[in-house]
This record gives sequence, C-alpha cells and structure tokens, in this order.
Amino acid sequence: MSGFKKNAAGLTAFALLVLVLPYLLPNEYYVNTLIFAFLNAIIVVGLNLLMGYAGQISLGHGAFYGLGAYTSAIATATYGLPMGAGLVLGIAVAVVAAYLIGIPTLKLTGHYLAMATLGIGVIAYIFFNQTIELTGGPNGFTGIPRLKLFGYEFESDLSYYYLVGGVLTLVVLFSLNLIDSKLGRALRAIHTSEKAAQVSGIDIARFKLFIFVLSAAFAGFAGVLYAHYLGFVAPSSFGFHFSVTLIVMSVLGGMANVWGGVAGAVFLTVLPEFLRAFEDIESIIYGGILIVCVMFLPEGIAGGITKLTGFRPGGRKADAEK
Amino acid sequence: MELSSYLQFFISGLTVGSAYGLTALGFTIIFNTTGVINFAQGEFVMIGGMLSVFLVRLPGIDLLPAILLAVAITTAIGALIERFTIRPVKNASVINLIIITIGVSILARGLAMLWWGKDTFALPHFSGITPINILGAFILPQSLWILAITLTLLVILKVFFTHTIFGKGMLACSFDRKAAWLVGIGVEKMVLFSFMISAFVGAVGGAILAPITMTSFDVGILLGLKGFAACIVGGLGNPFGAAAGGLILGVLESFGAGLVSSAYKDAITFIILLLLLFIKPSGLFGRADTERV
Amino acid sequence: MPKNNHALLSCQGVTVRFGGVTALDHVDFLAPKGNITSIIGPNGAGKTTLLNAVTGLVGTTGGAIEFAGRDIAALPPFRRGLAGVVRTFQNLEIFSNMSVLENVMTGCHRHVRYSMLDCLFKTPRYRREEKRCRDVAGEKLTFMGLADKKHLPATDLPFGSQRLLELARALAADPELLLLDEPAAGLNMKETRNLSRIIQRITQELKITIVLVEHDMDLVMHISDRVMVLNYGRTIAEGTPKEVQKNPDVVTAYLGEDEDE
Repeated sequence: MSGFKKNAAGLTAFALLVLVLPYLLPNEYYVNTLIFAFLNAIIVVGLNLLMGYAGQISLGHGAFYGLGAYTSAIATATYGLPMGAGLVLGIAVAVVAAYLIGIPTLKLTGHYLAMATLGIGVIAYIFFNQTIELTGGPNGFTGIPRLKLFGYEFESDLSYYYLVGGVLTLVVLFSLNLIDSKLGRALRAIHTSEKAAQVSGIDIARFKLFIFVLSAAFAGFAGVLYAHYLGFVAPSSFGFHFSVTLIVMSVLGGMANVWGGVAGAVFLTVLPEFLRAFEDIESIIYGGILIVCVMFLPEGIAGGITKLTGFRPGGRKADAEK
Repeated sequence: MELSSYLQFFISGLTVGSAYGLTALGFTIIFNTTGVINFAQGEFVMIGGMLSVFLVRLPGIDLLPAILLAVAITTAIGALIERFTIRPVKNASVINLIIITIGVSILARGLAMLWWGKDTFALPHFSGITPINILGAFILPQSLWILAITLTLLVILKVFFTHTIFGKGMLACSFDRKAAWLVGIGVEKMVLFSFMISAFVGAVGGAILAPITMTSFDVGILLGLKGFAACIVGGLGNPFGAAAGGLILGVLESFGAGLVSSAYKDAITFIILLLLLFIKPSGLFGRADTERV
Repeated sequence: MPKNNHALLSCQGVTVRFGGVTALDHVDFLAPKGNITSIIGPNGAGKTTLLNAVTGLVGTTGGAIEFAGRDIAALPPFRRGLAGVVRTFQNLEIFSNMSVLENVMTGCHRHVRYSMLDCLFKTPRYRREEKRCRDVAGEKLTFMGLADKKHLPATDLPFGSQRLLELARALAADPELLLLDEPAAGLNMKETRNLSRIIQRITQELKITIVLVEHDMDLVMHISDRVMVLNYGRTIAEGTPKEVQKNPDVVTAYLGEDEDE
C-alpha cells in the first residue's frame, strides 16, 4: 500500500515540522503568523475536498468561519457557557447552516452554484453587520475568553500554536484517509461524471451535501479557534474578501491536493509579512495568481512539484482541462 | 403614504435599476456568445465611471468628451481582457473560467485602488442639480438622463442584433457555436466583440450613474452581483429580460429600503436571487431548458 | 414476443417526450433473463433514450418499467444502480481523475460496507472491505485483460482499452442486468471481435443478462438471442437475428424507400 506509506511519511514529517518550527524562527512574532496560517489551512483543506475533489465551488465559505467564531464567542462571552459548549455549538451551527443551505444550493451547478454561494456569503456578512445586539455589528465583538479545555488554558501563543498545529495535522490525516476510501472515490467520481457515478450506485445529492457540510465543519471549527485566540471578531474578517482569499489559497496550492491546500494557505498567510507594501498590491497579486494559475498551473504549486519531481504528494490529478 | 413618496421610490428604483439592467445586459451578451459568466462585468461599470471622473479633471477636457473617451478606453480594456485571459483558455472547465474572471475582477479592482485610491468620487451632473417636480415627487434631471440613455442604448442594441450581419452573427453563436463556425461566422471575432460591447454597455452605465451614486474603486463587486441577479430574474440569456430584471430589482430594492429597512436593502436583492435560483432559475422570461440527452 | 414471465427487464408502453419531440412512442421491450437482447435502429431512433429511461437518466411521460418484477420507474438513477441495473455509455464516461484500478473499485461501491468513521480511522473493517474491493476490481480487470495496467491513470489507456475499463467497472458492481450502449463504437475489427467474445463470456460465465444497443450488425447478429428494431421512437420489428434481418420494414428503415416504388 504505497499510497498509505506515502501519507504516513508525509504526516510524520509534517508533524515533526510543526513541532520544531517555532524554534527555527528568528522572532516569536512569527508564531502568531503561523497560527493564522494554520487556521486558514484548516479551512482550505476542507475547501479543497469540496472544490478539487468533488468538483463543486463555494465563494462564500467565510460565512461558516464567521458562524463558528460568532456562535462560540456569543455562547461563552454573552451567555457564560463553558468553553466545551462553545466549541460544540460553534461547529454545530456551521454544520446545520451548511446542511440547510446545501440542500437547495447543491442542486445547482457551475455559475449558478458559484453565484448562490456568493450570495449566501454576502447575506451572512450583512447579518453579522446588522444584528448589532447579538454580534456587536461593524465594530466587532470583544471580550472573548482565551480557549480553555479540560482545565488547561492556552494562554501563551506557543501553546495555542501547538493546539492549532495538532488540529491541522488531524484534519489533514482525516482528509487523506477520506480520499483513500470509497467515499473519496465517490467524490472524485462525481467530479468527472455524475452519470457514471449514479449508475455505480452513488447518491450524488447526498455526497455533495456531505462534503459541503464537512468543509463547513472544518471552517466552523477554525472559526471557534480563531475567536478564542484573538479575543475579538468583526464582520470584515468573514466577508467576500476573505472567501475569495480562501479560493486563491486553494487554487495556488492545488485544488485537488490536500497538502497543496496547506501549502497555499501557509504561503499566502505568511507572504504579507514579507512584503511591506502588501496591502496596497494585495488584490493585484491575488488576481494575478488566479489568472496565472488557471492558465499555466491548473494544479497549483502541488501540481508543479509533481510535474518536476514525479512525486505525487498525497493528491490526485484534477481534471482541470475538462 | 402619499403618491409622491411612492413615485419617489419608483423613480429612484428605476434609476438604480438602469445600472443593474445595463450591467445585466453586459453579462447576457457575453454569456450568449461564450457561455461564460464574466464575473468582472461590474468592473467595466466601475472603470467607466472612474475614468470619466478623472478625465474630466484634466485641463481642457469637458464632460462629454471625457465620458466618450472613458467609454472608449473601457471598451478597449474589454478587448484586452478577452484576448489575453479568455481566449487562451476557452476550453477550460466552467469552474476554471469562473476563477479566471474572478481573478480579472480582483486585478482590475487592485489596479484601480492603486491608481485612484480608496476615496469616493462624484461626476458632475449632466444638466444641473435642480430637481424637477413631477406630481409631488422631486426628480433629479440626471435620473431622466439615465432613463433616456438606457432606453436609447437598448433600442440601438436591439436593432444591432436583429438587423445587422454582425449582430445576427453573435446571436447565431449563442444558439450553436459549432454551427455558426461551420457556416463561416468568425466565432473568435464574435467573442471579442461580445466582450467589447459588454464593456461599452457597462462603461456607459457607470458614467451615467456616477453623478448620482458616486463611484469608487470597489463599486464593481456589488453591482456585478446585482447585475447577475437581474439576469436571473429576467432569465439568463434573455437581453430584454436582463434589462427588465434590472429595473424590477432596482424598484424592489428601492421600495424595500424605503418601506422596510435601508440597512438590509442589499440583503433583499440576494434573498431574491437565492429564491429564484432555488425555485425558478429560468427567471421570469426564460425558457425552461429542454436538453437533448 | 417471448413470454413475459421470464423477463428480467420489462418495458411496457414506455413514452418519452422532450419538449415537442416524441423520442419514444409506446415502446414495449423485454429482456429475458440470461439472454443477450439487442436493440438496433438508425441514428436518432431512440435507442440510447430507451437505455436512459431504464436507468432513470431521463424521465418517462408514460408506460411501465419493471425490473425483476419490481416497478422501478419512480426510483432515482442511483437506486436503480443499487438494485443491480448497470450500464456503460456511448460517450465514454470513465473517471479521468483516477487510476485504472480505482475506476473499477468505484464500480464496487454498492458492495463495500463501511462507515465514514471506519475510513477516517482506518479500522480493521475498512482494511478488510478495501482489500475485498481491490481483489474484486483486480479480478474484473484480469477478465478484461487489463490487469497489468492497474496503476496507470485511466486516461493513459488507449481508447479500446478504456472501453474495456468501463465494462470492467460495470462488472465490478456485480449487476443482474447490464446495459451496453454502443460498446463497439470506435473499435477496430480485432477489438470488436475481442469485445464480442467478452460479452458472450459475461452472459455464459457470470450469468449476467445483457441488453446491447449497437450499430455493428455483425456483432449484433452474431451474439444476440433476440433483436428489437426501433425507428423514430417506435418498435418496428422484434425476433431472432435471422427473422429481423429478413424483415422488409427493417430493410426500409435502414436503406430508405426505394425511389421507384
């Protein structure tokens, strides 16, 4: 089972890297950047499963990130619920929302699906902005307690880093296992030929919904971790701009590749730290990346590496030229 | 509530609706010729408005030449976009095409922000700002300009598509590209033209609306979305439906903002869009698709 | 018409309309168990539409479709696949984002039994079922002569082998009824002969009932037990291959009216 060995090797290497990285960094500040990078990676891995493997699209995934963040924040800060409840509620709300939205939305395809998910993202953003009593509105929601589980409070940046790194490793592990199973094959089948998939007994609607909800769960989970790290959330972090950033990360890393998703997310989260004028030219870079990748590198960084070295880092060739 | 208030909502709805309609028309023209939804359509509107603002500020350039020049430049930009980002990947999957046009849209916005900054700008009204009193409602002259120009543009396009060879060729492409190609219609040229016409229509919309709604580097996003919503309302692929859809959406939004809540007015459009997509994606005037399996 | 009581698939009065076009007009069709029943007819006669109707990819505006005595007309396509009705496609529909082996393993889908939790944690049940699936897939590939190409990307195979791959995938589902939509299209003579042998082996060794839609007359006449002829959505003849070949209506349908008559 060489595929399994490759995955195991990759995961071990990654886990070691996560363990050791903070001590290689010149400045403790970068740990903070890596935390955000890993949070984004958690979402993008889910998005890759949805877009690269199952062939769907979501231009509004920031909504689920926001739902997870706000739900847990409100549950713990406003209602004083224990952290565990906040965590569960945050993910649950994202999951339920995705389920309800997904049923009608995933019947759509192509442009209609893209626009519907975009619309949902915008509606969520408007909701976060306007329900001021609940969410604090445009000024944001403050006073969110630091994450505390089983009595241990993740006070320091370093401890939070290891928490998020651990969650990411688990998420990657689960995603790789998912792909390498009948569920993964069903998803990939749906991507290339819905007709043939149905004939093989695959319930298309149910699978699309499943992967949509799963990717929303990842995003919701990341949202909870985000809220309890930053202590503060605002609608602007979850709007169209962020949803598009997620897409750029996914495309850059390689949509049909789990490790690609991690790479894309980390690269684009870390990049602004090194480009001082980044904020001004961010849109130009993102737009350029999308155009260049689709035209020349349909499988992103991961695809480029595969072509150069022949080594396939835990992904499958996406049908980008269909 | 008095008639004059209703009339006010109605007219302001038609005004904004014209912009939605023109944007929607741009979507439709490109969609009909290529099957692609150009996510960057809203940016044509933005560029038309922004360029007008900056050209008019240059010494020696009056309002009308500024607008004409802005529209011409935007049309050229539309051609460039087609030539360099769409034509090379014309056989890509739908998702990839969506991503490329999103990329173009972001890039355009980024460049606009770099050149012109983040401020909001106003274009001078075409014939002054003294409101005209119609049945108790106060209508800005610019609103009348908007409606008149939009209507004229619609008529010109209608004539173009039904009475000129080029226009008929583009319609042929929308029905069956291969057949059109087989009978000697230069499909590539049609595609280029469709982008240029869409850019033209969008830019005109941007220029005529800028005096009332102001313009800035990021007006494109929301306009694009609402323009698309208008397309769906009217039935994707139907130019008349697109324009009508835009007007309907503008009026609904205006009444919604006036009677219900102005804060949620954007949400109204999206909820309408979602409901339509879920229930009747073929819109008000579209045909239900009967596809040969 | 053969007697109904042994028919695995029974279509009665099936009508399909697209907008203004009547693609199938009250078509009766029987596929007796263990037989190879073919459907032939000129282009546009409605052959693929009939297969689409049976597999549920197209809705019917009238008529009944019964499989193994059960009315399946209301079932969504994937449920018919689960019930044991499997097909191949005229325009190849292999999964281009998977390897050859994975394509066939996907065909096994309905027989692989584990839950999401099993695959997330790679439990012993997952390993067991995956191995079984891989073995079955390997078996079907061997049957088709493609075993040595297991790990290649499916798109690397030449066209003829891709057709066999799709067939292997269909077999992996362990169907009772196999519908083949122009499987010989695009194949050369040698490949067609190979295909002919394989189809016969499927019926004889694997005891699978086959419905074959084809244009290749040699193939059809050589291996079919019975043949039905469609034209303009209507049945114009039905019988053994010899009977059908001699039927004047069939000859007219294919060759057109003689202008002098």
